[in-house]
Amino acid sequence: MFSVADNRAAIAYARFGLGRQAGGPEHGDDAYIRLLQEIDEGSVPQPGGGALPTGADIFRRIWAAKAAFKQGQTGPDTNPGPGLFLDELDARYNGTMFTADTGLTERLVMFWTNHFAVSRDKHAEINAAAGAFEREAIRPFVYGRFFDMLLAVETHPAMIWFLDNQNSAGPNSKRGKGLGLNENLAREIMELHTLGVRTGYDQADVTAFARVLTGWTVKYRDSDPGEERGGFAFNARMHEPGPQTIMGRTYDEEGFMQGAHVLRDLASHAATARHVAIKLARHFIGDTPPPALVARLQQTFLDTQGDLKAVTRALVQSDEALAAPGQKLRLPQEYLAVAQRALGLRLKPTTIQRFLVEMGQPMWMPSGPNGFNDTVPVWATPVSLAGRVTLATELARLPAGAPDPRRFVADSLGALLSDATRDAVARAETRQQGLALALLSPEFIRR
Amino acid sequence: MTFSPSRRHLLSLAAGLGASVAFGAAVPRLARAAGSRDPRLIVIVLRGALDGLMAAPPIGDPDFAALRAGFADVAPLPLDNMFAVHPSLANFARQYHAGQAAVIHASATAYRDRSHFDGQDVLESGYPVPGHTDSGWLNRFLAAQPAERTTRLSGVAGGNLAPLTLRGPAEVLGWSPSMPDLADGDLAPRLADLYRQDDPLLAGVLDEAVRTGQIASGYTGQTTGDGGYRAMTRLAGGLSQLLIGNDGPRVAAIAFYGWDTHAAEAGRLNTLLAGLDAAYATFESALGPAWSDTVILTVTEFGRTAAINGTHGTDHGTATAAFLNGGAVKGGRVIADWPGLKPARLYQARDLMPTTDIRGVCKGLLVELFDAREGALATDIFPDSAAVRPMTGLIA
Repeated sequence: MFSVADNRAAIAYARFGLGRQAGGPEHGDDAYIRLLQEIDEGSVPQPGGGALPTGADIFRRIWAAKAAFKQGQTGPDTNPGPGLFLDELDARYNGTMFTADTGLTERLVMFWTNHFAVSRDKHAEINAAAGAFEREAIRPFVYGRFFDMLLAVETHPAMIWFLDNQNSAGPNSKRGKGLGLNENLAREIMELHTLGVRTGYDQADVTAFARVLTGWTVKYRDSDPGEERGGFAFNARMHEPGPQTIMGRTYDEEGFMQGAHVLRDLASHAATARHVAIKLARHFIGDTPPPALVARLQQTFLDTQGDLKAVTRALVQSDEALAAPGQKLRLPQEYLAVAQRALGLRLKPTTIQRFLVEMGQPMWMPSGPNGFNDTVPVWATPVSLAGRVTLATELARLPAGAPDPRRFVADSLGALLSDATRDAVARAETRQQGLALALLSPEFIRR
Repeated sequence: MTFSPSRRHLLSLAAGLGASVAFGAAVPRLARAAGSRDPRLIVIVLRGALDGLMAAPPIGDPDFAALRAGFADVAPLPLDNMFAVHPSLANFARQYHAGQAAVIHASATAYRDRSHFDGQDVLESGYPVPGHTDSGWLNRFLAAQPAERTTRLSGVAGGNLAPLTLRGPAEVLGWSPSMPDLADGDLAPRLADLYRQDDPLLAGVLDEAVRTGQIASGYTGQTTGDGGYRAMTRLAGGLSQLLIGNDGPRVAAIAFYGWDTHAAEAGRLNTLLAGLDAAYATFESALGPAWSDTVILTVTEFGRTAAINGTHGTDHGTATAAFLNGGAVKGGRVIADWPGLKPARLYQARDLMPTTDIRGVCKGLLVELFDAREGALATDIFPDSAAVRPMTGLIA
């Protein structure tokens, strides 16, 4: 009934994309080719088309709001964070995700945003600027070089603030008497962002790296060094002077370049290549990433000096990419976008936020810098499933031309549709129930 | 668009009900019928295929007991020598004996297959075949009213999603109570069946979620948003308020679901029919004096198998029972050309044989309540139905 080509296309679409759009192109052989074209083209849309504020701008607004609050001036715009957050959600779920062709680029953005995770629940600044962080430090680099993304991330105000580096000063720096050394950023860069845990660095390396990173801060006062308040600044008065030795290599560069060189070496380290390979394979293919695939991705990373376009292409073209569908559950953030696209339904941002919270994955709010867990057991829980049931039931009830569920499930799942699901949908008591069953079918929840 | 005073009144009325009301721009109006009567027609669609043999058991039929022995746990309420109604329909039975309710048995649409969606589309669209989902027969009836005959707003659709019966070119009000929407208690069991086939992981998660009450399963009649009692009575109450207004609508349509009783039918129908009966009682009391001008028509897409299946339920069938109640009904009778339940008399050897086309009932109501013209009924409102005569004498 379905050709082998249709099957491959359906698997690839589900595994790497955000599912078929209502009224979008059919599943077919060229669907898989479009995935590869998307990688080659390498263009990444900007949510809000440039109208959303920059991270620095947002930081300034938050500081202004805090100052106004302190002076007892409260008003509707006192905290611009919540409104900004809804705008960011809208720009993606009703914008870039909704209109994406395959959805691969948006999936990659979500993956890297979770890899370099910040969390909105830590500070008002991050609550407001998490979307800007994604727009500025992640998106431009998903088809670029890993090192470029790494550098953009570790110099973004949101990451500096999130990992408490803004007040970290070297003991021998000019500000060292008043401020102390904070190791958080250094540790998480090594453990989470690059090398991975237990890959040959020790506590001394972390501390040395922390010293290197002193002075990597956010310009706060007009009198501070740096170009723009709320933006990244290197503050030499906070920087620990002198060379530092990390994992057997001595870095004697001055100022900002010392840290940039460490990051360059971390970005090209074999352990980093392996770490990235494992995370990509685990996210897209299966909880136990196939060792051969990991090795291949790691090698591609090293051979191309961290060219993420090449690594992504290697992933999508691998044999493992088209084998054994359904090993992973769609994460809640993906699942909502898939459902919206399949039904052709834009939603109010507050509704989007509510669904994500109910399913257990509020946007940009993981419990820690390690991001949301990416394995099946963590999402195969009654709470998360109940959240999906709520989402499916509500979306299925929304008026505006509810499609025939039998046609909907065939169009949206293509060759992945099982006989069991098709029959269950056909036998549903009402259209709404049929649509809800389709949205909750194993083929829709898994990828 | 300018609001007439009557519309403003309607809006404030609806606001007082804590509900949402939607308007269209040019709402056709229905003339007061000649004479003193100011008729109301309420169409209730039961989605899922109501088991007519359980709702209105033909206890006098010699072959009934063998088919359904021991199935009903409580004795039904007799209507006449031949027929009874389910014990949960106590108010309906009372209305019957007061001459204000009737049963139309062994009735069906022209649809002879067994898909819920297609059957409901045929029932509501008024077409003899599925695939027509743009408009319903009742909406097209409203749309056909000539402007000079009409003086008031006419249609209101109850619930979150307007039933197809009242969707179409004629603008109608929409009314929905502000309460958490009906949870579909039937979704989780069906989902569990689906997961159990191929996905043990999700099946286990769903079971646990149901067990711990995080996902609703089944119709209990106790919980809020149970798709039953509370929802049905709230909708009946709200629609009644709108229907009694001097300038309010005169035609309403609403759908209730949960009637697809493939398993554990006895318990489920106990609860569901109790909810329906409570809605009937709510209409009766909330409409007040307008009850004497009202007809409620309760229909479903098809019936169920004559015999019980292996899971204490019934599967999709053909003919079923429809209900009429209201002060305007010439009631106290069961209208049926009863085919009997001998195996040779069953449709495809499994279902109650249909002998009455339900479109004839709808046509008869439109003619006797609203002076509808037979020609239009046979072509526009129920396309290709010239052979189906309007049933006469339904109205007192």
